[in-house]
Amino acid sequence: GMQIPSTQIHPDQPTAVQRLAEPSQMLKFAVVNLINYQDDADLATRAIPE
Amino acid sequence: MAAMGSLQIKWDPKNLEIRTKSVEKTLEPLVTQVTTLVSQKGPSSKKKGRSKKAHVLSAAVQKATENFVQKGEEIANENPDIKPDMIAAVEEVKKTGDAMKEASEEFASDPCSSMKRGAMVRAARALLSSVTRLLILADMVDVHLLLKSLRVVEGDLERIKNAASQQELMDSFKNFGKSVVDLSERAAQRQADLKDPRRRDDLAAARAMLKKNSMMLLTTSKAYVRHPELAPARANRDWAYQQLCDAVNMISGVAQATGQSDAHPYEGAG
Repeated sequence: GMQIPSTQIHPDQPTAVQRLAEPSQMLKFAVVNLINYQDDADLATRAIPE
Repeated sequence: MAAMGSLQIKWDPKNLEIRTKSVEKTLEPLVTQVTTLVSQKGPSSKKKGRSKKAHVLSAAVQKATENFVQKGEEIANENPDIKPDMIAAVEEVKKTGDAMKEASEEFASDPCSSMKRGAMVRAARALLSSVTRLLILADMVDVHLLLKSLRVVEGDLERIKNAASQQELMDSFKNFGKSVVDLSERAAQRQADLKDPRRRDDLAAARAMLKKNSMMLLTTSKAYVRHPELAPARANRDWAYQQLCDAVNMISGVAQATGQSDAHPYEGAG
């Protein structure tokens, strides 16, 4: 018989955007960690004065 | 305007309009991050130092950039119609990624230099901006795939309309059955993801029309092919056909729509 399109929403294939979502988040976290590293260095400088 | 084979996308990736929840959800933290990086002020004179940890963090950024680029290239290769645009955006991520690599290695060797930190922050901003552009383009790929699926349904509908025998009709319907299910699923993904509630409603309505009229087109077409001399048989078939064409046009309009949707004349206070 003929297939009838369903009105339910059950996407099984991720879209292009969904496939890029995780790697872009991981990249953002990596950048944030590196930028925040300066704060760690400042803290160390303050904790152990010359 | 990006050329997409026989299709034309009506919106401009440089415009950066965010139409779907997925892009918005993914981009919001990135955009916030870009803004934060720019507004941060680095300390000017701190103790000079070298750190293994900063080099590790710098390597992690490079690895994450490579992963992102790899996914972008995969999507580009799977979609030849949009490949040049996609590859150009991926190249931009690579370029800004290389600049970030250089700036972050400089910073890692001297993490207390505010100048090197400032240079790295600028490089990070450029990198995250190019990531943003690629995400917007990926959204265009999704729209493109929906429109491609729509063209297949249009072709199948045309063949059903022109079928001269029961066999030809049934063969055409077999193809139509597959293509209309594919279209409905892609439209469902878009419906679930669109930010604009009116456009989500329009897609839901169009998908309901596809479901309701597909079987009606089959039965009316069978009757018409058997009795082409009967005007009511033709009228019934034409009505179902037109309903399906309207549904397909509605999906096409919603997929390509930009800006705010207009309120329906019946909406609002009576």
